Amino acid sequence: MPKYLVKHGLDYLDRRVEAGEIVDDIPAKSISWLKEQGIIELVDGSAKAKVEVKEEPAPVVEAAPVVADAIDSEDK
Amino acid sequence: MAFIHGKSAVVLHGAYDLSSFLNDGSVSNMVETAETTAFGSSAKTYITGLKDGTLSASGMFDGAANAVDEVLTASIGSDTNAPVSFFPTLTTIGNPVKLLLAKTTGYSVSSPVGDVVSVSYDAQADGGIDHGVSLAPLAAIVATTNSTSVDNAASTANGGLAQLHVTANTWSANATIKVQHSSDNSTWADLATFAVVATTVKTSERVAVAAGTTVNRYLRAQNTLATGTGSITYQVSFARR
Repeated sequence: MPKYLVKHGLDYLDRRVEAGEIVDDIPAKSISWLKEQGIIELVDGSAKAKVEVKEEPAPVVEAAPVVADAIDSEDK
Repeated sequence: MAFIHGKSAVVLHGAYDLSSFLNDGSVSNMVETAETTAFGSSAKTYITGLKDGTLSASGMFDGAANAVDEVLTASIGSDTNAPVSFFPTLTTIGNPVKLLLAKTTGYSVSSPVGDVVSVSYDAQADGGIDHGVSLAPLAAIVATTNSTSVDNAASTANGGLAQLHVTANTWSANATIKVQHSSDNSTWADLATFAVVATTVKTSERVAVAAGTTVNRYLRAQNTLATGTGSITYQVSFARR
């Protein structure tokens, strides 16, 4: 079953899920509107690793030697 | 909704239910208009300006602790505005309510020789008046509860305002109260979460949901009570914008 990262707290099936948790038992009829409103986000099996990697972009930005280069890299 | 009698109106002012002291109340919504009449016009024309609102209420004097005189005396001149909810009748789930952040502008006490000592007060809405619905009636709660949902028939897309009044609290642990929304009345997402209400604390709070935020068709209030004893009396409303 597809897994989803919960971005806002949810209650379903007599269950409470907090933001940041990954779940795979959200009722099918609710998935569409939850995704559309950004309340959940589809992730794959390595979701936890991805979430952790997201927290470390800062060193890359600081290493850019000049502003122009930074802008170029963002455009790419 | 059928016509209703005014006998069951409710006025919640901050952390206080003033209904038992009041016997008359009114909320006025206003909007400024700017005249755009030009030469050649045969009638004046206007465009819509800023909204505004006021609250007026009157009733009987009571000088006891936490009663009307103490509450309103403290509110006049205070820099802290009080969330006020004015219900034309009862706080039953789904009932309409006028929500405002009230700056008390006048409070008077009158002692006629042949009648009961009376009070009256006026308040200016800071930020206008929102029209909402009750999501949780003013009632003593002793367990974690999901309120019955309110169906708006359609979603809205411009955020809103959640307002909480905790008027009595003997619960021996924390309480978390929030507003949730749903598209299917089955799965519920958090929409507005009030600050955790600590044990025995009485409070009131407004939480704005940002403009542009989708508010789904169904709304409900939810409380989560940490393990404890006692009860907490609160009321929650939400106004779509």
